[in-house]
Amino acid sequence: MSYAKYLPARPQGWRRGVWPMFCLLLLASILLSIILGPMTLPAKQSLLSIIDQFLGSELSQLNAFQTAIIWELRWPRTLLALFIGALLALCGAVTQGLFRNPLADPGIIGVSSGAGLGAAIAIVLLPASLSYLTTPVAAFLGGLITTLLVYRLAQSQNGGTSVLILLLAGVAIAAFSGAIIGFMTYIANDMALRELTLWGMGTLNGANSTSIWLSAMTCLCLLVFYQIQAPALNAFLLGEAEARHLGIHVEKLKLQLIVVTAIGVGIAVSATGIIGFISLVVPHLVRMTMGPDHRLLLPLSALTGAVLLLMADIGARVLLAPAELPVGLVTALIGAPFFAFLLIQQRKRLSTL
Amino acid sequence: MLTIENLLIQQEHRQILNLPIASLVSGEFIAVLGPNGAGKSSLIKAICGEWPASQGQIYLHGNSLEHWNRELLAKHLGVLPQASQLSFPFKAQEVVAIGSTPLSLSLREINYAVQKWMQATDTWQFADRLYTSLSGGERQRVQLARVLLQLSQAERAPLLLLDEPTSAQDLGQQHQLLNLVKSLCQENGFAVISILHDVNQASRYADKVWLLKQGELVAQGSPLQVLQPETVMKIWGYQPELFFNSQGQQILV
Repeated sequence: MSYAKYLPARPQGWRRGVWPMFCLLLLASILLSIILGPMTLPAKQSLLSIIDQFLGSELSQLNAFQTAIIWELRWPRTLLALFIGALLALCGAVTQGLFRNPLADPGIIGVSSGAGLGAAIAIVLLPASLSYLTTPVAAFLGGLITTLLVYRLAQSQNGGTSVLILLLAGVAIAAFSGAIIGFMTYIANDMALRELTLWGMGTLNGANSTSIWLSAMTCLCLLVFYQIQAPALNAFLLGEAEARHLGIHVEKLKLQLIVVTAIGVGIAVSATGIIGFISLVVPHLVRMTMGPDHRLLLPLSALTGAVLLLMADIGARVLLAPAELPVGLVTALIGAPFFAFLLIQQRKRLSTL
Repeated sequence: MLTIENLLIQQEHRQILNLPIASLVSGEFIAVLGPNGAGKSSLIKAICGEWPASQGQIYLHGNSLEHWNRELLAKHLGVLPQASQLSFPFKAQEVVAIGSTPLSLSLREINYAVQKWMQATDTWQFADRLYTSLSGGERQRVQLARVLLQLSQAERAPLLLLDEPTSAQDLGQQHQLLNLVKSLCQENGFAVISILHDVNQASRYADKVWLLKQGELVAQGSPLQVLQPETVMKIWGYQPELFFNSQGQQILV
């Protein structure tokens, strides 16, 4: 008999306070992201500057140089971090639901690698003038093909998905795309090489209005779409047959979720490169505290993902200032031990597979 | 309400199930019995559409199952699987609430219905515990509560399919569960097809018995007609002894 039987399911009385708490956290991290960096800006004046920007007032006493830092560098980067963080966390939560497996993360099962491969091919082989269009599309296609492939591979006889196959498929796909990306680096010209290298490390440096708008729109669409599907996703967790008996068009739902998630991962990867572990860690944290109900899990994951990636990016800028770490490195530093922790926790269950 | 015609299920050219004709009316409790591998679970899977039939038709309330709208069918056809693979930490009552997916209920109505069905299945006392921490029998009863909630908005008599509902239950719970199902038949007009293993339970609760062997329906009728010692010997290869209890009902041991 396990002692877990006697523990309360999860902390009670959180639900009411959770939204204001998260919104406050979000606002606080946005402000931090504006004032922190190689050059620290005064908090109050920065806040005023933001207010100025939106209300057209002139309260802030920052000089032109400081204002430029905020609006040319930090603000776009902050926005990109928010949207990409939310996008990654959302896609992670849905992938885990789709595979009915809490370890199925787009990064681990190889979807991100597939999207990365698509993006790398587009950067090197397709004309640079069209890259704002071709890179996301190629990343989406790479992600889509990989998800379909992995899903087919991991489908087991009894209608579930096999964790072992999922993880091994991830290893295989990561190795394969690693090799092709290496080859792309080899044949790339100087321009493409530069872009490829920067992008490959997973960085929010490349924030521009195109990538911000694209990720913001995708994030919004995915939030709405997933939220509509949330009850069906809950039923899906019971098992495919059970979901079908509950009146859900299972095949259609699966296909929709796979395509939409591949779009999400594709857009995220094309904008910032592969930023790992946000999609794994965030849904887990939310599930642990709020439970696995997708109606709550999805929006909260988006919020938490936004905050976490922003925090990681602040870390990336501050830790070695004035030099700057790629944010993918920071998230991996936090995420990889967390993944190991999950493995230890589930060791018993996994070793029987 | 349910009519099965010429149902044939084959897998890799092996015949799994062959059912020329069978039917049941609302309020009827059918016990499906037979040795292992007789096609009992296949029958359940065929009726709920999980396994496509090679040929044949199944009609529910006069309409072929293929022509039923998915959402509407969900309100009228509930399936309790033998085991469920849910591995996410839902609370027991959240699992039951998922049963409201095809229904149009307000949050308050859902909460009320969840409590009602969890009390009926004797699971309300662990409504707040995690489903993943429950025992096999407790999980099965939580799933039953979910299925009953799913059927609670049926416009016509619903059909409930139970795949070994008593397999993980203790003796008391087995009878409590079968009593509940029986009363749903008698009071709410449910039609029930349930796989059972115990011939005496079938005699006590079922209106009719379908006896399967090697994918064929070898006998159907009232428990008293079908479940005779010589039939048991023929089907299971075990010769039972016949007793009578104080009410004169027969018991096979």
